[in-house]
Formats: sequence, C-alpha cells, structure tokens
Amino acid sequence: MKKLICTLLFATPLFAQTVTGRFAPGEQYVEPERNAPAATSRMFVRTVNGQGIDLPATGQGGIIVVVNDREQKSGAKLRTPSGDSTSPNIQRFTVDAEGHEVLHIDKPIAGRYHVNGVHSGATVIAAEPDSKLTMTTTVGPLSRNAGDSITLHASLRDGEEAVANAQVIAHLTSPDGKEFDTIALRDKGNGEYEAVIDDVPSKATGFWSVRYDADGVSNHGIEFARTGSNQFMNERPTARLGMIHSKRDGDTLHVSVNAHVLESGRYRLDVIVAKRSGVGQALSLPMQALSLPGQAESLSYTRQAESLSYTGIAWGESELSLDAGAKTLSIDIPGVQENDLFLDVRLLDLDSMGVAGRVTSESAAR
Amino acid sequence: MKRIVVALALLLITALAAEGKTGVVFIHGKGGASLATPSVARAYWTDDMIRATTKGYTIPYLICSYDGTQYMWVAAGQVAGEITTWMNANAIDDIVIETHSFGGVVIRWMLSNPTYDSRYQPIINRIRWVNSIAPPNKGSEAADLAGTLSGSWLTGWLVDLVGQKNNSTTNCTTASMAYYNQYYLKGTSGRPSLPKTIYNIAGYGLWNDFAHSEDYGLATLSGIAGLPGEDDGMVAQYSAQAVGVVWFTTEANHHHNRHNDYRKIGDSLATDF
Repeated sequence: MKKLICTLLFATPLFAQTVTGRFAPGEQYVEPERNAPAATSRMFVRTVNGQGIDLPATGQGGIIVVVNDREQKSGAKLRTPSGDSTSPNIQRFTVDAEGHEVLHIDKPIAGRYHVNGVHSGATVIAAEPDSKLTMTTTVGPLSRNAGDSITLHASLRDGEEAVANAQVIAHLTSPDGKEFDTIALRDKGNGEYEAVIDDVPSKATGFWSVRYDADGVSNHGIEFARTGSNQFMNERPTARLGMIHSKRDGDTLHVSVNAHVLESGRYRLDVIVAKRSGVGQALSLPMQALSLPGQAESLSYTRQAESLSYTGIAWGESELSLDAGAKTLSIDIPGVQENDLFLDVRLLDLDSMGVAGRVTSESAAR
Repeated sequence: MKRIVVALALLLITALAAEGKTGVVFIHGKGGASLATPSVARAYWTDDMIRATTKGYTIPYLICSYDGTQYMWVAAGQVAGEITTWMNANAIDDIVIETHSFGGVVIRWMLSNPTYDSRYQPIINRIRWVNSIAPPNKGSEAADLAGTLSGSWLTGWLVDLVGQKNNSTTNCTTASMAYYNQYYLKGTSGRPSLPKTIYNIAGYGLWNDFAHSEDYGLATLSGIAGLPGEDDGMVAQYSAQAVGVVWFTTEANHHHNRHNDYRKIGDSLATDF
C-alpha cells in the first residue's frame, strides 16, 4: 500500500512524452562549456561629443570607418595623423540606396586619425580587420544560477605579446535593455584583465550582454582601442535537482532524480548516458576553451589540464508537466548494456527556455 | 464483414501512399516582422530561386512566412502550422526543406524537440532531408555586434544587416547558440544526432556584385564583426558547417546565396528532384 501511495505521489506524471536514442558509435560526450565562447575584437566604437573624435590606429592593415550620424548620411571628414585631409588612401563607399557611406583607409599609419563634420551623438565604428592587436573576451558561467559569481575576462595581445597597463572596462546590459554602471577590470598581468562580481545588478532573467572597452598603448608605444561583447544566461530559479538513482533491468536503464520544483509548468527531463573512454586533454577552469573557431591560433594563457573523456552511449528525453513541490522524475532508456556509466541529467524549462537544473553522476548503474 | 473492412482500409492506405508526392518547403532567415507576410517572404527568396528549385514550378512548394524577429521556437510554431496545413491539403509525404540563415536554426529546433509541439513529429516523419544555406549553427559574430553596439545610434543599412537587438538576433549570437546547442538543439559535436540529415551550404565570398550596395555592406560587416576564417559577410563557414554534412561551399555571399543569381544555387537545389 505504501509503495502504491509513493508511486502515485512521486512517479513521473502520466502522459509524459519520451524520446530515446543512441549516440553514433565512437561519438564523444561533450560537457557543456562553462563560459561564453571567446570573442575576438579588432574594432572599437566611439560616440561623438562636440567637435569630432580621435581614432587611434595601429597601422597594421587597412581601417574601415563607419559613421552613424542621424543628421546626415555622408560628408564626414577624415584627417590623417599627419594632418592630411585629402589623402588618396582614404576611399568612400556607398553602402545602401540611401547614400550612407563607409570610409576605407588603405595604407594607414600608426597614430590618431580624426573624424569631423559629424554631429554630436553620432556613433563611429573603426575596424582594423588585419591588425595583430586583439582583445579576446569571455564571461562565465554561460549558464548562471542565483548565487554564482560572474567572471568578466579580457585578454589583450599584440601578436604573441601580452599588452599590459591598459584600461579595460565592462558594462552589463540586462535582457530588458537596461545598461548598468561601469565595471573596471583588474590588470592581472600577462595581458589578462578580470573582474568578478557576486551578483547581477537586477533580477532580470534571460541573456545579459557584457560590453568591453579597452584603451591603451602597446609595448611598441602605439595607442589602440578595442570594443567587444559577450553574453551569459541568467537562469530563472524554477527547480532544483538532487540525487540521481539508476538501475539496469536487462538492457533498459532506469534513471530517476529527486527534484524540487519551485514553479509549476512545462519541463523536460534530459538524460545523457556516457562511458569513460580514457584520460584526455581539456582546457582548465575557470576561464577555459579559448581556442578560436575557424582559426588555428589559440591563446597562450590557457592552461592544459588532464580531464576524463567520455564516449556517448544513449540519451533520453521526457517532457513533463510538473506542479510545484518535491518529486522524483524518472525515465527508462533502452539499449544500454554497458557498466560503469556516467549520467548527465538536466531539467529544462520549456515555458521560458532555461536550464532549471543539472546534475551528473559517475559509476551509476550496474 | 470485419475482414472486408480491414481489406478496404488497407487498400485505401495503399492507394493514398501510392498517390503521395514530393514537395519542397522554403524557410527564410531572420529579419523584420513583415516576413510573416507571404509576398515579403517570397521576395526574400526571389521568384527565380523558387522557379529554379522547383524545376519551373513543377514540384509542389510552400514558402513559409513567419515573423523574422522571434525566437526559434516561436518561428517554428508558425512554420509548423503552415507546413501542416500545406502537406495535408496536398497529400505531400516526402518533403525536402530548403533553409536560409536563421531558417536553418528554426528547422533544427523542430528536429531537435519533436515533443515540444504535436505538429512537429508528423512533419519530421515526412522530411526526406534538409538543405541548409548559411545557417548560423554556432551563431554569428555579426549578431554579436548588435550587443556590442547596443545603445549606439545606428543607420538603417547596418541595422538591416545586423538586425535590431530583438529576439531572433539574440537567438543568433555565438553565446546564445553555444547555450542552445548544448541544452536544446541536437546535431553539433558531442550531442545526440538529428533524426534527419542536414546538408549544409556555406558561403565564402564577399564581393559578388559591385552593382549591389548590399555587397559593400556585407564586406564592411565582415570586417567590423571579425568573422573568423571564411565567411559570407554574415555567417562564418565554421558555424554553417557545425551541423550535418557539407554539400558544397559557394562564393555567393549572404545576400546572394538565397537567390539564384550570382551562383546558381537554385539549380543545385533542384537536383534533389
């Protein structure tokens, strides 16, 4: 009788829709990235106040200058560091039918270019796509739960050289578009700049943006500026996950997890079953995985550390309509014959997309 | 009597199956809310692209028209409604999906989350495969720019290219896609595979047509946004190729690779029929 009552109270709700499958043979299980993907910037943004604006150029390759002036579409004047306003190296391109212009400087010299003939409040974007002077930024955790501190990180490089003594600041913007006060990043040495904040300045949930602005002088005495951005998800506290239990019956793996649901609604229980396949190399915490997509380069400050690697075995997903309160969620995944399994269990919110909880367990079912 | 009913039912099913036919569905990328208007969605692709892909309109087709400012799950709901009505009305049981840009993410949402909407699975069952042109599977650095420039005043052309900082642009940032890829979407490395094959087509050209100001805009955007490696002005090749099988790459940029002009992509899509 007790068993029956428990089953009725705590079992997965009826009518759960379950989908299961197997990983392709040899497919590696990949743990979620801790941080937002690293973003590399070779551009900067300035807002014009008063009479024109200076644009520091590194002189490493061409410069693209975009002037966004609400008062006029064209007519911005550009003066080289040597004071030349008629340089043949400055070309103008019309980028739309309305006549908006983009300026392109072919063979720039290092120094301050000056833009004038634009109105106060105009935005000027300057990009040096071929420059070796880069700012690479990230923020973590990508999936941030209440109580998690947030690490804002920027790395300044001039080719292989670290760039020290720069001023690097960040601004957080909430998902509802509210911009908050400036946060200064501390120079940690070796071109690394970082700030750790304990909490977000508002309770808004969703994707927060972080804008980074850096100003400084390279080791070769060349002035530069860089602007970049990242995002992180501030999760809604809708549920918590506890202990994972698993049991194998023949080749069916039965996985259950304790959950405390804070907000009733539509959820999905996702389980990934993997098996340890050896000791591999992975990038270490806290600021990890900064090899750049599409580029061979990787940042020298990332540390290599040993970590376990896993081969994906199977997966299961069960959609659930859950009321608030404590319960046990479960799913059966067929076709699992392996022992010493690694389980990655997630509870995803389907009403307002977000990760309600995630827990893992090793050496689960036998 | 019972046997006769069963036999008749089987006969009917067989006849229906025999009469089933192939159709093609076009799913556009992100943009304005006006993309929910059929004529705007058609203009997105251009008549020549549709004509070429459908072999002179001989293949039944549907041009989906959804609000291009919304998250993938909202867009997928609108797309699922249109496909369901069309495939049922026309007895289509073999669907080839053609997507451009964010449309590739919208169809991935559907394929990755079959229980999210009861209309998804019947559609998935009928899909033969998906041809995905320039999908930002790992996001787009151009969408990131919307966050970088947040609060700045921007001219129309840049906003037209990058997108307002709305839900679909947020959906396409590299951080958002990293998040969705590891929790909600399937098909990237280390995640469960998709139930149907996606063939991707990535662009690597920028200067396609000097007569079009869009080309100048895309080349400028590529330089500002810092798209890594090869790109089509909006989506980098690494991102487009992060899911599925590489079908081919094209010199057509993000403006031209949804058309059948600079490179005859519609002619290539038509080889499926």
